[in-house]
Amino acid sequence: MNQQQKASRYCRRVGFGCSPTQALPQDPLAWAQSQVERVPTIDLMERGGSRTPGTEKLPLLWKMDAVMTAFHQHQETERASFAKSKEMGNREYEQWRRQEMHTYWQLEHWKEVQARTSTARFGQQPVFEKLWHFWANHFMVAPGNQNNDTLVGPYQRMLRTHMTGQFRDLLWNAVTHPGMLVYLDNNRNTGPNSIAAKRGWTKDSVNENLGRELLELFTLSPAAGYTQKDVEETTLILSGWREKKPDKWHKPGEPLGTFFDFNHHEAGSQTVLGKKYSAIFRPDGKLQDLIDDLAVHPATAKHIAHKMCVYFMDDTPPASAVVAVEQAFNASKGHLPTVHKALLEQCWVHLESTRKLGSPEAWLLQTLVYGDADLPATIPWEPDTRGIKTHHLLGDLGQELPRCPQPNGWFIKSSDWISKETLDRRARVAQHFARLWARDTGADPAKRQAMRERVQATLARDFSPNQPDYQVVQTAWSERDLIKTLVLMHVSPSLLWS
Amino acid sequence: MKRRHFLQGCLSSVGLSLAGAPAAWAQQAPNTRLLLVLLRGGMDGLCAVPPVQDSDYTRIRPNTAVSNALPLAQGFGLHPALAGMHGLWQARQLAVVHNTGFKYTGRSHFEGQDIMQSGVLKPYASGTGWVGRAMEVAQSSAGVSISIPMPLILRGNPNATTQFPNWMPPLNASMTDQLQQLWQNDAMLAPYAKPIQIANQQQMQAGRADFKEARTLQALARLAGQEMALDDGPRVGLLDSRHGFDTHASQGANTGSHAERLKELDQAITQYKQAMGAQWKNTLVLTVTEFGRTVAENGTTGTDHGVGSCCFLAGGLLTESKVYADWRGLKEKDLFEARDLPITIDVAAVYALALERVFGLSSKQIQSTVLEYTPSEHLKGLLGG
Repeated sequence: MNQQQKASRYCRRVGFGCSPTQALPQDPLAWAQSQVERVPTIDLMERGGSRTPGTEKLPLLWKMDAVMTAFHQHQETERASFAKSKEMGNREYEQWRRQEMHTYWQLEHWKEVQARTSTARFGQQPVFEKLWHFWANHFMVAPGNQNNDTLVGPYQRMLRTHMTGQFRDLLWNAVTHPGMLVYLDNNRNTGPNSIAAKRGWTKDSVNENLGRELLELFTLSPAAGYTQKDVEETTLILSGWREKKPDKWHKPGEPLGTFFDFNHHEAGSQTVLGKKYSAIFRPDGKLQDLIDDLAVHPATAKHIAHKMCVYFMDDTPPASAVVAVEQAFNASKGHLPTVHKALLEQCWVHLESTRKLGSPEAWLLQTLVYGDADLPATIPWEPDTRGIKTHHLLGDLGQELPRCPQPNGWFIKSSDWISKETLDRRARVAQHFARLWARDTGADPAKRQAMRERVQATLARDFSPNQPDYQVVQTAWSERDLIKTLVLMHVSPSLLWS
Repeated sequence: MKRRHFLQGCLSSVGLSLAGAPAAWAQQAPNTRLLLVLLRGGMDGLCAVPPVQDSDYTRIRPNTAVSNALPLAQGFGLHPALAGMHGLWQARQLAVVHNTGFKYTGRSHFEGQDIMQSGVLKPYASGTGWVGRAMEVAQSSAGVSISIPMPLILRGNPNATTQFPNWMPPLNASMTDQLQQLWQNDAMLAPYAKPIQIANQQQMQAGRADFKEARTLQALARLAGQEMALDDGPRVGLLDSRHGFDTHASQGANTGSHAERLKELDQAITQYKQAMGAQWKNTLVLTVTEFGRTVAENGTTGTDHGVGSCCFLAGGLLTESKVYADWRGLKEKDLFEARDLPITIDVAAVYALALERVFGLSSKQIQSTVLEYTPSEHLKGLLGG
């Protein structure tokens, strides 16, 4: 592999690729490592970084007050909908509901997915974005029960803001954000001996959903050998952690967002992994202490190092790479920029001996980068707005952001993304874009010239002339079949793998 | 030793194409079909097939006990949402195995879903699934998963493929003709060149109208049935339900969220049966779930992750309707760790009988190359076993 090919492959591995019309970084590792120290802006972004025109009415919500208000409004609308269903005729109701809920579902999800993908496409720190995709996948919150749709995007974007600090703070903010507390039902997790339970204020009691995932998915992993009892005790420590929204129980002046409700909390002490977490004078401190310990536990370091290496390197990553990332995690007590830099270094060191076939999202973004192309621009203002939307394309490819089916996130292994359907669909999406670009290029000589240069530069930079995929794409190109060339190019092993 | 042996053998077979002489089953059972239905999230056996005559049932489930179950036998009833399946019961085409599951007690969805598909009790240890391995050993023809990614359970058989309704215009032959050459040096991609070529050709001929199919479980079941009813159609089909059985809160009883999921299952099986037409008599439908749910309700009128559940078998390959169970009761002392239904019948033994019947494999072949299991006397008579 020559230096150009290596640098380009690395850009695809740790980011979404480098446009064939732009110069590759001289020092790819330094280029990547320089992107992890600062949290970049995320927005509905255009080429050049400006905000997408026409989306003024679609602000990304950041302030917790605004987020909780939107969540509450959505729930209230759902409740009103239930009443309406009794008043209205069937068809009338369906129509009303489609219109009314559209804002909270389709439009909300479109906005957040478009912000995520357009920032990855046009932002200045694609490596940071890919690392964010990793963490948003690790701490998955997806649309689920309790009408949590409007919490998903704000929660995921919140994670970004903690990626330049300690893992402990990222973990704390993920676990205690209303997005997570609602998604995994912890807002109903009530201590059996809590005040609320004893006085019969609620019928709710323990719910292990978040407690289990905290140990299993977010930190230790089952390989650490914790027990059902540890899950139960963790669940009790989590009891009473819920969300505060502007509903009828909200008192003026009370901050919205995360809320520790002592009335629903199981007082006293609990024991997890043999350590006693005690509540003297500071009942909500038990969770702080537990998170402190879990965040720097060696099993957590091992779990996260391995998962990162699978995500970025190979289904079976080199043991030495996993150990290097794990050591960086342990030595820095989970300082994320240090961990990220170690990971990026291992990706560079083992670039040629490992291979990665990325998620549909990563592939779609790479395809757009290689075509110097924009994302689909349709804004679905109305339920029936026609036109291709980014999240629909992702759905067609098997990754319908943000609707991840399970809390363990999207697949992270290459082999999981290889099937007849997944490959067929990548080829068809490539065909969709190839036709679009060919039409756009039309008879414009300057655009035609740019297209020719892109194809030739890609062939020269990313392919090996002695490999069959080079021959196949080159043949299509010499037949002057642009669409065929582009389709075969984007599903060639040279571009599917990095 | 034995397990390691078959793991290695199967892992190395990934990506190779089929070869060798037709196996013995080809003469015995050439037309049999198997439809797997993955019920992710952990189906509640006590909701689907409640022990209606157990006096502890309503005590331990004050809000979530089913009160209007359809009658089965041996003290069990069938959830009212499963009315179509009750019709099969009356037609001697439904069997239930209760207190069953893979012998995994970790209560994790993700480990459980890995194990239920790999058939290997150590999570994440196998890159192939028990059905994929069985098809490989049986030299079976193609299987089809009605999904976009290929689920683990069918991996290990290079002739298994995936299918899902697709609105996107097909690729023309001048492109798909090149895929084999494009991918020829890539063992992971190469097996899909031919299936993609065929699928695109077929869609070119069929036109677009056929692909407006909805993506509901029942529409997908109909699609599976349409494919599998063909004489040269896939022997094995797979329907993958979403995570919906994970009812930690407000799971309901006669109606409600768990009942809704069961209704989807019922409609899917009904649609599938209809689409299979005359082939239904050669068909077995099998459900797979990662674990059952806690016997007692939790504090949010739902149930948490448990251990034992139940398994459904349906179709023309059954000769009698029966509940197979080694029922121990619902008292705390009878439960696993005082909270869950114990596994008194290894579900791998149920699946082994299914593989024997559908593929004509011997129990010895299955034990050594496909799926290790503990046989159970309580399964006597199931599928002629």
